[in-house]
Amino acid sequence: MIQLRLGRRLEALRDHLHAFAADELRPRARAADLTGRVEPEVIARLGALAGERSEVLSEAAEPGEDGARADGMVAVVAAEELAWGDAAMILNIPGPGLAGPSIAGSGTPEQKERFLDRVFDGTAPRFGALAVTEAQAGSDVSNVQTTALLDGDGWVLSGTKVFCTNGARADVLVVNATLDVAAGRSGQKLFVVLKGTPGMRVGKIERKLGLTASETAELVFDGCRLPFDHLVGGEAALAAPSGFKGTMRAFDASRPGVAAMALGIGRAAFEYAAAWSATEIPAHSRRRPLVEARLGAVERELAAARVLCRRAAWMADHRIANSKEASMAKAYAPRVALAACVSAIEIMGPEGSSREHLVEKWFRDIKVYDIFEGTGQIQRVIIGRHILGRLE
Amino acid sequence: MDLTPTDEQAALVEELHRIAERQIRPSARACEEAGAVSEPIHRALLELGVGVPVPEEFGGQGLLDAVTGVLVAEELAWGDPGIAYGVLSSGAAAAVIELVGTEAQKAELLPGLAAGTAAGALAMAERDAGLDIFRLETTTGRLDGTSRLSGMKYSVAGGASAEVLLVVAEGPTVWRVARDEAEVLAEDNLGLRSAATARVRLRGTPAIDQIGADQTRGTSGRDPAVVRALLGAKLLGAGIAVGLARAAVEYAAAYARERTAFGKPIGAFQGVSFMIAERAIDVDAARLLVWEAAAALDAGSEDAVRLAMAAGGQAVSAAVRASDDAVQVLGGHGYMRDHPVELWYRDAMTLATLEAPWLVGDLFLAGAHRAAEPSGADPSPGGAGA
Repeated sequence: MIQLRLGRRLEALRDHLHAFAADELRPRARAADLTGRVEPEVIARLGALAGERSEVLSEAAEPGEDGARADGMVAVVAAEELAWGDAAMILNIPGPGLAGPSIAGSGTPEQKERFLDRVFDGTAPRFGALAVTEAQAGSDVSNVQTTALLDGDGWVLSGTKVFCTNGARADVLVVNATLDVAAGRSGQKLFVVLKGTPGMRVGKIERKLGLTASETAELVFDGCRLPFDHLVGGEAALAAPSGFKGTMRAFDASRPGVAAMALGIGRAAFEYAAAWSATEIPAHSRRRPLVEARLGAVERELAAARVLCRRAAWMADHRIANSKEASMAKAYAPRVALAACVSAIEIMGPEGSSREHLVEKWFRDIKVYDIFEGTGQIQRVIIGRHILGRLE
Repeated sequence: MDLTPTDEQAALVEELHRIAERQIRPSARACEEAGAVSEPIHRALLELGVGVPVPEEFGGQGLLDAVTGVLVAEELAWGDPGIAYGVLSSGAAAAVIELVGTEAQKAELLPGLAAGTAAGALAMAERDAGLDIFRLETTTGRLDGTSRLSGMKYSVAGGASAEVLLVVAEGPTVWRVARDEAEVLAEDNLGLRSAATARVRLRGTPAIDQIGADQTRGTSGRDPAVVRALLGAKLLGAGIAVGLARAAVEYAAAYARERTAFGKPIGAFQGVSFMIAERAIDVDAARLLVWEAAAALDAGSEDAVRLAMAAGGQAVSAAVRASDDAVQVLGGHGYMRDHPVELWYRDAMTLATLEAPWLVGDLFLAGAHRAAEPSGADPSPGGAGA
């Protein structure tokens, strides 16, 4: 039977996370934005609540009547609520991050045990990260120039990665590098680099428009030596056609959650402007009907973004291929969330542009959601190919 | 119709572009960090006669007409919108004094402004009215034989340091207020941070005098000269928005030509080139509307009010969209402070709060299409000309 209710367990999760977001994240959002830092004790609590070993999230994902675990749904519900609290702070949640799906999806059982289970054992806040982007290779991942050369019984990594979220603090870093630059995608493999490996150093930490409390690092590999078994998937990966698909799978899995974060930011701006206008724009004002109509349009678009995110997650939970649907959510949610932020600032006028309110911060934070983990343009290419096929 | 600038205008624009390119753009970050326009830039523009255009008899190099004013604004904002907003506001205050002030006021105030020994500021924008000069809610009243002002002004460039602080109140009317008598609160904003903007709060604040009025004349009636002067000031903001939008489109286009992905310059993909094309259309449409409004103002046409409202809204829309898409074209690089597009993205939104297209400009234009209301409802002016 078609119905789009969350159900009792997910609703309870949403309410629980919302309370945390409202009480613990939102009040610290401005300070985190100005200092670019999140206090370690808040990071620890975020980790306990929403990290990999979170019991709250795990229980909410228990199989329901249809027998499927709801991990995808939990991810989008949590992403929306927590990003509503503060999007930058939740990028500091300890855990394997995008290194997780890369290793879990393509690694050997021994690698999963060594690089995920043993490192992320819950004894201390630890971080994973995925280093893909290079200065000249963003959306075009096939253009990656970082090389991995087999030298004796190990690899030598050389190249520079940029825009890596949590890259400097990562305990476990997954890096895509090419065995043969001329081979394009098919030459790319994934490698695990552990923190402190000689030959790897942290370059600059970026100064950004928004998400200032999230670390974005440049990583330089200069003759960085790795044991042979740091090749994700082991020896078998050499025979496999490409590690490129492993990289793409990591992004596929994360897209609905990233879209839901954008939705959370947009909803924050919408609710803030609605509450502000209720007291600041009197009922008899000529502006009132325009403001109400705009708020209504924003609310509608956010509602549409929400069901697109949840559909993609539901499909993933039911093992239905969702590449097109994940891209639809990722293409749509950041755009309407940005429109929500713009509308909120316009409604509030000069006060909306002031740092005494958070809407200007949300306007800065939201912009990157249409860029990272596949730009809106790349999402459209993916959607178009699914609908039209490859036409060349 | 003629879209050719005069030889003088063309020469001025060329000179300003050189300054914008060599001096203003390279200083943008430093000025933003400092929260002020640097002294060398102030000096250069003052010497050129565009910072504070004042007639020669008062020590300046001549007042600029509205069309020249918007050409100047666009070129300076191409260099940096925050710097342009900061520099032009002192000049806007001088222009208002020149256009509507009494001879005594001109003689007292203009020489200092022209020499740069006294800075001027024009407090115009309000929270709800934005730059709709007919809906301003700052009130005037008389108490103990003194005219007093009450209201709140936003984004007043140089408000905290102005020796000549002009406040636009209901009417519209323009008043001079002693800075120490008003509460001047420095703003901490998303954008236009180089302009050192401030809020000016007036609570029964005594005015020194009313610009353009002998003390006997009072505040009644809408003075066409005041409206013209204020529209000229408002159009400078629209010109800044056009310059910002053009800078963003040009920067994105240059990047799209150089940056390659999937074996081609990204500009070869329609997903990118269409974005740039759409924004280029926005820029041209906005600039033409701004020129039309400025020319109507110079010609003394009644249409100037309506056109200025349309131009302001169109220009900030173009700026917001162009800077958004410029960040998008640069991708992750655009989100970093290494490129100016993130700065323009913030500046455009701050500028948009003053001209909020659908809440200020469109609302004004819509007034002309309103059905007659029963008497007693909202008597304030709608879309009628000045």
